[in-house]
Amino acid sequence: MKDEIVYPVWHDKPFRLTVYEIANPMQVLEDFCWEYPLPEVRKLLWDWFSDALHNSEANAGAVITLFENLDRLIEAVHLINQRNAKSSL
Amino acid sequence: MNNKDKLYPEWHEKPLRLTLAEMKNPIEVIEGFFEEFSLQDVRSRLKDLFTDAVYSGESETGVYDYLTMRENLERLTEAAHLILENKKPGRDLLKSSHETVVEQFMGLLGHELNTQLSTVITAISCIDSYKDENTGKYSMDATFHFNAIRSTITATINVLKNMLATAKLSSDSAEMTVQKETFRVVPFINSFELPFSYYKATHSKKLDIKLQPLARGELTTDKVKLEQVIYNLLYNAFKFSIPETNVVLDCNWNNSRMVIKVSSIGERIPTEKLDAIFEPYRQLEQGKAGTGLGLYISKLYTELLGGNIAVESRDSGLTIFTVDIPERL
Repeated sequence: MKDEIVYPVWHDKPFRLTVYEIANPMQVLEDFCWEYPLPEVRKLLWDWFSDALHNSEANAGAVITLFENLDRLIEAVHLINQRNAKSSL
Repeated sequence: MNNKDKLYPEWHEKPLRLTLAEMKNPIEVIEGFFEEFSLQDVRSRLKDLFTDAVYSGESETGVYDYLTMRENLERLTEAAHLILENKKPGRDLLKSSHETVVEQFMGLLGHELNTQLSTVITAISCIDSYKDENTGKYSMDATFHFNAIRSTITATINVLKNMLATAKLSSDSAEMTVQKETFRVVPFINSFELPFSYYKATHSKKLDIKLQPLARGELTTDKVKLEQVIYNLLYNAFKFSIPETNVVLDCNWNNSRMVIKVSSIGERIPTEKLDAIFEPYRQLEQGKAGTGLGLYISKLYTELLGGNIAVESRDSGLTIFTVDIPERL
């Protein structure tokens, strides 16, 4: 049996964000939504995951689960961003 | 591929994976996502995915594009995770604006009912001491408390009627309006004596009403809302003052404005807490305070009546709330 991989607790902290972005995470969502409109991000995700599935060593189940969940997360983020934009008008 | 090929119909901008309930509460989708994947898990899976895609031999997309996408998805999930951690802003986003408005209104209504009903409960507990154990009958002294209960319940019904008549709830805002009437100041101010009289028996505290000579005319304003302002201030003063002290309700007139002061002696309120004292859900002491809406309502209604409310707390422990409103709204 493969040993369970245990990561240090700080792996649950943001690694990609700056101090300012950590204080203002909504801005990161805004930037993402601006850079990736829903139709485009769906296609990009699909291409990416489709490419990964062509790799015979890929774990298809894990790839599809992640794809579906990321797709839903991105849609939810877009909705939150739209509402946030409206409420700050 | 030319630009025409990249055009999608407008409904592609809408969510395709979410149910109606999820669209209403998108933060729950984010919650669900992080129940399934930790941040570390997302990173690890995106890395695997990146490797699988790049080494599949089928990819037409450049490595750089995948790298960018991977980085942006990591940033997105980290930001979404933070929003979820900062529960309050996250929860605010979860609620539709209409739900927030209804909650605000229900919060105000609930607070006002709770304050009035607490008075009734205390009065009822006082009545028990007037019961003769042998005969099971109440002495005439209990009549005073029955009158206090009647007066408080009448006031509660008036508060309810006033709130329902003056609250205008739309889909994105809750607006309170006023119901003007003209009434005499003396009986109005004296009417506060009865509901707070039971504190004399239970906590040796007394309401001391001081009606200055100038304050004996008429007032044209929303009587019920002004009553709620004063009631909330008195309720707090009795609750937080030390036993065997008086709570003073002082009423005066200054340049066509009625000035009401509610003073009591208790613990001094620190200066840094005074600044936020009128904000909703701000409690000075956890466990000792109520819902944290009483002073917020007092400020909200005072301003609705064209007035101002202020507070000062001295080193001696004397705290004074001052309300001034125009004599004619």
